[in-house]
Amino acid sequence: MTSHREAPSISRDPVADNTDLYAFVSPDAPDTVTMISNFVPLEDPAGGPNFHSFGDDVLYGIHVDNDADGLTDISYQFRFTTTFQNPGTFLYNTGPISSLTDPNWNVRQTYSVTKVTYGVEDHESQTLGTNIPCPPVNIGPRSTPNYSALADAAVTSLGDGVTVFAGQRGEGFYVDLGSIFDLAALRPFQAAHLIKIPGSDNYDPSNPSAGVSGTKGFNVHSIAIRVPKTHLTSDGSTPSDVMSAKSVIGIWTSASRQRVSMQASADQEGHDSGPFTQVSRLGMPLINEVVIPLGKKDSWNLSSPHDDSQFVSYYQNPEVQNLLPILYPGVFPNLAALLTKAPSSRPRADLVAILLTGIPAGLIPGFQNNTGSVLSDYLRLNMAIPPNPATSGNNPGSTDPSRVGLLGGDLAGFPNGRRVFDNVTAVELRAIAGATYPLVAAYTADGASGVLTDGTTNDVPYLSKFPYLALPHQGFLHYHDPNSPNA
Amino acid sequence: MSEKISRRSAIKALGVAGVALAAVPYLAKVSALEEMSGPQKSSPATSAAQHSADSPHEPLVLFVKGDKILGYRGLNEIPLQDASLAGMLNAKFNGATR
Repeated sequence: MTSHREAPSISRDPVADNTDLYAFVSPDAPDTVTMISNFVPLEDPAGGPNFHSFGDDVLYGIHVDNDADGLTDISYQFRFTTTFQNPGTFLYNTGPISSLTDPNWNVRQTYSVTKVTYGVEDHESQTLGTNIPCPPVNIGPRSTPNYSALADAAVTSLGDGVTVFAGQRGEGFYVDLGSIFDLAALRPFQAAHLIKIPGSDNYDPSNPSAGVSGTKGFNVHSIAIRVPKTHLTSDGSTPSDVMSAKSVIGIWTSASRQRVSMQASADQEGHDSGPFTQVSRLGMPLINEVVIPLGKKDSWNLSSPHDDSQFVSYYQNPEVQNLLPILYPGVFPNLAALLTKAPSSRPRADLVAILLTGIPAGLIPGFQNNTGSVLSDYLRLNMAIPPNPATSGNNPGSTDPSRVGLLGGDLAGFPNGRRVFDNVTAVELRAIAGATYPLVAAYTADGASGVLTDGTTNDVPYLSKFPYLALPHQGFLHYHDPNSPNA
Repeated sequence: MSEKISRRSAIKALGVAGVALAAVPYLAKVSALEEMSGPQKSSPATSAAQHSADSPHEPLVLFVKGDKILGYRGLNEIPLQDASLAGMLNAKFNGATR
């Protein structure tokens, strides 16, 4: 998954586990940028009576670097508070929930939003909103009969062009977990895999090349904020020149906990103490998942993007690159030949550009999202590039080239930021397999590198309006039984 | 953020802890308060202190290892290096039971 349960420590702390980060020019409000940070991986929609929520003890942040120095200039920070209307019942709700003030709704979360602007010597905090309601989770037709209206009511304007939403959403990331983590098998290409399996072991014998999204039917908790572009540029200007450095921002997200946590006992309350320290972070998808090795994953989560030069060797020589010619013999002959050279003689400058510095001008006509020489794992968004009108509905077909962003010729897509529908798994697989290496070296990419995919797509439609991610799956109609009618 | 912790504040903080009451005579020796520092723009988590006012009534949690003492109170982390105080605390707690 892009960053779901990706490191040993954070896999045991779901409410602080960053799963996905999105940042894009809002398709229906092109003067603004939408940033979405997801948490709580693989939420089962039926997970009551204590349904999933944000952590009251977690400091959530979405951060922006707008002057290419690898340091955060603006942070949007989110803190949550849970209240029980009636602690005398075990129920999340005592009747249908028809509004965000419905007395039947027992377990509620509200949140605050603080904008922190960092200067050279100090920083300034501005509270943008307090007591902002989250919607309830989507329980089922008796408890949350008009869920769409409840979710819409939780979209909150904070003034000055800023809009926020925090609550449950349908998982927007699609990936064939079961196949990829079974020795990097890609179902569309599994006939070429080193380890053959009987056809009857395929999930769908009638269509063995179809991917099976392992995130289908699950929910996440999303924090979404839409802000005017002028709030994000270093000088308050409106970005209009694609080739200007001022048009590019780096975005990353984090979750932090206080240093000390004392567990409650039968006769003493628990207590958290000390400054907040980062326990999870996310910029580019899939990096801590499959690029950073096991022994470094926890320290990667604790470190700052400003210090990412310490991890550069893993970006220059990713393990997946080295596995592909072994697991798919004969499919990547040019990559196999490249790998016969010493790693020091073939550093993947294309991957470093895509993942750590942004793509400099001159490699792709009319495009750049470079933030200088400081190596930092960010999503990088060139805000001067308008959204693609063809994808304003946010649901391009599964084979639409827009799904693979820049590789499909769509400058508005990943790795220029990341839209909710972008097929980041395919883009990164293709790049790692060598499809982008010719941008920086005399190299002919293997044909297979240009078509790699896990064969999955989203299971429910994205929204064409903020917060863009789909409504969450409800618990009542959620099945694990593959023979059930709605499975 | 660079934030100096004054000696008076540290003594006051330690006094709150109760466990350190017997150490007050030793606190006059405390002179090696480390400066809490970090890159101004690289530690968004530390700015969370802005969310909360100072918390003089928060309990103090001490972490003692060797001659290093880390005190946690509210959103603050107070590092000390004091062999005599650390030794006294260790002696006080060695063999102690509830």
